[in-house]
Amino acid sequence: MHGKKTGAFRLFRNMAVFFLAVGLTTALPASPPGTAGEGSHRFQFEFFGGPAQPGLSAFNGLVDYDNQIQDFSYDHLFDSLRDQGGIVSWSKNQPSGRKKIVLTLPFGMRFRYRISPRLSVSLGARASIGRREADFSFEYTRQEPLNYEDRENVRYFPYLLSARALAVLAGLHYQMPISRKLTLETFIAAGPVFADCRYSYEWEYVWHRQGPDMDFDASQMAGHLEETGKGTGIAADLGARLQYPVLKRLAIFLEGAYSYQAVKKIAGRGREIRGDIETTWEGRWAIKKETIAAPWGTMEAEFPTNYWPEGSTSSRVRDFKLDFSGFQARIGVCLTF
Amino acid sequence: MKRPIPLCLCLLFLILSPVGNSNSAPRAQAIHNEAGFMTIEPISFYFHYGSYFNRLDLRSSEARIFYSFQAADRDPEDKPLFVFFNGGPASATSSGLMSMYTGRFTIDNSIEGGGGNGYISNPVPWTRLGNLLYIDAREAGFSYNIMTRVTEELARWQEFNAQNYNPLFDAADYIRVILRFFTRHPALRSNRVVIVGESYGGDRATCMLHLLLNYADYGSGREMFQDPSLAREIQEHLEAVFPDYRGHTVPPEVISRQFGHQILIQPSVPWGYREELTEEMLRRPGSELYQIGAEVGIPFRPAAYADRYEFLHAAGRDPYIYVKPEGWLDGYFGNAGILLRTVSNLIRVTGADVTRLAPFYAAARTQAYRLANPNIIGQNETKVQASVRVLFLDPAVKEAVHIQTEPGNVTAVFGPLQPWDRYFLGNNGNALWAFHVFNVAMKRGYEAHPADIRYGRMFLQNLLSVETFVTHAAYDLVVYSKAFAPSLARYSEIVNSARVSENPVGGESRSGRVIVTYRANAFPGMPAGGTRTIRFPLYDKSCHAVSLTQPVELFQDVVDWLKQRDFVID
Repeated sequence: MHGKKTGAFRLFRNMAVFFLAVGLTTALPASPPGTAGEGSHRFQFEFFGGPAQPGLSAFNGLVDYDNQIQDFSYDHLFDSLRDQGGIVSWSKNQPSGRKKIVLTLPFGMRFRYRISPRLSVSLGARASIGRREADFSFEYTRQEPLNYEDRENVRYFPYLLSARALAVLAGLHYQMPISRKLTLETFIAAGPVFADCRYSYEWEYVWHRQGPDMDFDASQMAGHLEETGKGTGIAADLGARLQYPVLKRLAIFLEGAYSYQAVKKIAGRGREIRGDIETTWEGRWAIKKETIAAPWGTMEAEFPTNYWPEGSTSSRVRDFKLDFSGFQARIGVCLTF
Repeated sequence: MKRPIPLCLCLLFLILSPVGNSNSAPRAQAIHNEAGFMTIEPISFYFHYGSYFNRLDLRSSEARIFYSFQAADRDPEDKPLFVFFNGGPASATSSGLMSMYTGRFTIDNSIEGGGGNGYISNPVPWTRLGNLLYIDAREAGFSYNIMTRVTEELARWQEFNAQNYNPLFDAADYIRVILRFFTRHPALRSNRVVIVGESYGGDRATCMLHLLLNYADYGSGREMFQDPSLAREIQEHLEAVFPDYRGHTVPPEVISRQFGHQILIQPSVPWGYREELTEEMLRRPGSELYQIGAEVGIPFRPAAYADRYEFLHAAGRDPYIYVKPEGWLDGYFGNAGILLRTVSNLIRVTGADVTRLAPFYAAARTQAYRLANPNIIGQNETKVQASVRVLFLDPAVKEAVHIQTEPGNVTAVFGPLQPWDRYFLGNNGNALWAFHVFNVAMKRGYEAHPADIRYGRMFLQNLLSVETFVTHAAYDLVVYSKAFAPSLARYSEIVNSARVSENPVGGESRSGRVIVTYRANAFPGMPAGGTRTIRFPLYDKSCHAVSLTQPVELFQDVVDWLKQRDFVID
């Protein structure tokens, strides 16, 4: 779904561009301020966008999990080996790391129809796209007695988290003038949301051993992992906005809203390649609890996945929600006709 | 008259017609002596600690594992299969148990310095008890590996790593050979198996039995080591032997009907605790080390020696048999390795015409490798425990002269090999290095060294399903038998006690038992184990290789032990 833009997202993008072009063309003739949306013009087209902090904490949990695993498998292991005298010392070099989706830029459009001077209904769509891609590597070096050194280098190119949502919203808008030019509006909207997500990384691993009598790559591996999912949920907005006319039929507005957008049932494909072995699967995303019991310690972690092999000791602890909910600030333009 | 000519033609047609399809199931073979190489394709397996996507994936080299089968003296179809292997790891079985009073021919233990210039008839061949299958470990003895890029030294070094050398995969090799041998010999497929392992072979037997008895866990993610194709292969075999379980996981109590007996000659398991206790016990006043010190005039002072090997070296005594000079036992193994490279000896010992084995010939092994660098054998890393150096790496270095130029006529018969290939290696120093010193599984924190505590736990779990016989050799200071029971008792989370009983039972010549009492719920999901008894006879004049120094006594004890377990002995 992510490799190529899906039909719904492509259609939405093309429509947005078309209506924006039409709107701007129509609005170009100058008009006295404060007239936009008034008179016999009952239709309105709006285009808006702005930053949002989505509530993708469950999906971002993958980054926490991968960091936790790295910490346990390297830092904790080496601490333990050093404490037991197995190694002399160890060091870590990691200039950068995995990145979470902390910001999305929702953008959308809506048609409105004024049914009374203060009341309008609308139908629109809004896309929320969050994507974090990071090329990074880390290297752990351990010094062993008698001048032997082992270097483990892991490179990710890239490590990717991506989540997208397309909400189709029907709304009810109530507006009132608060000054000669400024209009205050409150609105409520609801509808279905279509979302997808993708977690993937390419990796390379090299173990280099060096010592008085050797200097070679003792082990090399490479692989790819991806898990994808898509599903449908419910979206609802509750917000308010201030609108200011700039041209005869054109106004700008600033909108603030709490937007609920959550997909509770999400499923998709997974694929892993290690060396010359490829594994594929399909499954529903849920939160898995893993307990890693190694000689140097125990680690428990919860993370979302769609991989549920038979007989696995890991357990499903709860449903996974791809949740874009949060406060959004948007600016936009509206065109009446 | 009847028409004889068409009838003759019909008979001739029937005789000449192929029976069955050569591309279908493997061709069943009659039960007679044979030797051969069992091919094990490259295997993908992994280690993990419960996180699937954070596992250590490994893929082995292709291996050609040498085996020798000696059919039982009588009614082989009805007799158990004894599977023999030595230890090391990466030490040859051919120059070990196969050459030391178990098969029909043996080196001569009455000749000091290695056993003479040829093989003699064995007065106590185990072929009286059943069928014998000897297996050389991957890259040990006559077994060899295959790889691409074989001409590149660094590529060869990369193969001496965890993907070919770790205790669990080593055991998986043996299981594959046994199961594939059964597939080729359907008449034996359901017969009982008695595993006979010496030294590290005790760890190997532990891993093999744990893999067999709990095979589903080794393919489902439940165990640290995961070899899904092995789990499938075991399932197929068990479904053939126990058809009632077709499509179901076969429980350990059923599997042990076939794989339920082990004879362990000076087993190293449980290596970790046993080593600790051995050093501790031998440092107590009055121990064997003090006795040796008094005999040789070098008093044993614990503070002066890092471990027992240092002192024994100073005293000039063999740690495998402390009443003999240093190198005594290695002399027998080394001599057998030399003798076996004369093809007539190999034919005599195996009872099979090895010149008919295509994989032996140089032409069939252009991609074969045995060594990363023939000039670096065993001494490529100085950071090893004294025990590893004395027991494994030094013998490999000593053997190097025979590695540089192979003795006997194998080269003349089978053709000259590539510089990194060899017909025979008694101890593969590079493989030993990979087992003990450097492999990525071990270094990444997986319990992939036989000294890890896990393997003793596995032994104790196996003991619930497997009848066990363990030798107690009085002169062996490598596997110090007095530390065996106390080292089992160290697993206090599993056992309440493990104690030796010297009370003779019946008319047995050599008494000795270890009685293990389990804690309730010692293993999750398993019924309370109660008590298990290990036969533990004392061999009062024996070295580490009990079959070499007291073969008649060992044979008799094995016969008695098997009779008590309803084995039919002719």
